[in-house]
Amino acid sequence: MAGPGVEKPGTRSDAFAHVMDIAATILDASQTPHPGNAYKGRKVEPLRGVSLSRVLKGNTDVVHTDDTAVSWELFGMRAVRKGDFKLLWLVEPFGPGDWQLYNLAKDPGETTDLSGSMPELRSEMIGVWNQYSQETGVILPSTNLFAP
Amino acid sequence: MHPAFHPTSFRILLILLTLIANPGKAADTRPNILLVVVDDMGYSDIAPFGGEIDTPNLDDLARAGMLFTDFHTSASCSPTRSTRFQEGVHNAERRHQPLR
Repeated sequence: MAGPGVEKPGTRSDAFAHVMDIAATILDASQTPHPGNAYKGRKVEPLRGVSLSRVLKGNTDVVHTDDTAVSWELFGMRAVRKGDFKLLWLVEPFGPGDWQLYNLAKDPGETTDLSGSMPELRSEMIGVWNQYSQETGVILPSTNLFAP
Repeated sequence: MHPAFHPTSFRILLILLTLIANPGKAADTRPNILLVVVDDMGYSDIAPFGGEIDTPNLDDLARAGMLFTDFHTSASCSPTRSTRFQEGVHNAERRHQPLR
């Protein structure tokens, strides 16, 4: 990202950030308040993204704090990122067809499943996923789309 | 299987948000914003992230701006385009389910 608002040109941020943060950043840069729950009579979902402006100013290298989670899914694959940790569900045959837990700070290659050693955190993050999928209305495939 | 279907390796869309100063109205300090979205491009294709393809204009943008090394799109192009960066919400909130 370049232009006004980038205080230190040529620098790099390793902050975890997401495309959802773009909308928040544009609203911030254009000094446009989010309309809230409705815009011109139409329902508007609350913004899930966070403005990158503080990172662009060089004030911080954190966009999403450790106590906030970002979740996503595609074709039955599911994931939650929170702090250093990532909860992951890979559909068979690409994974076990169950939740796995990884510490991305220590294990960015996702080689060591911590499900056995950190069951409490795993359960907590499964709860985050369940809340997220209910809030957003995620529809998971009824069959394994990758079955041979 | 297309690798883009794998949620652990987000398909990379390069997103450059360019905030361009607005010289037209002295009283209005709000920038013009140009958002460049590229589909099916690996982030390492371009020179600022180590790619071997000459991208001089993107190099200039990178030198004048900030690079993000842990920035993610949705795991498929359509939810990214339809909702995630337009409205900053999750695609299912717009009842958008990606097609295979």
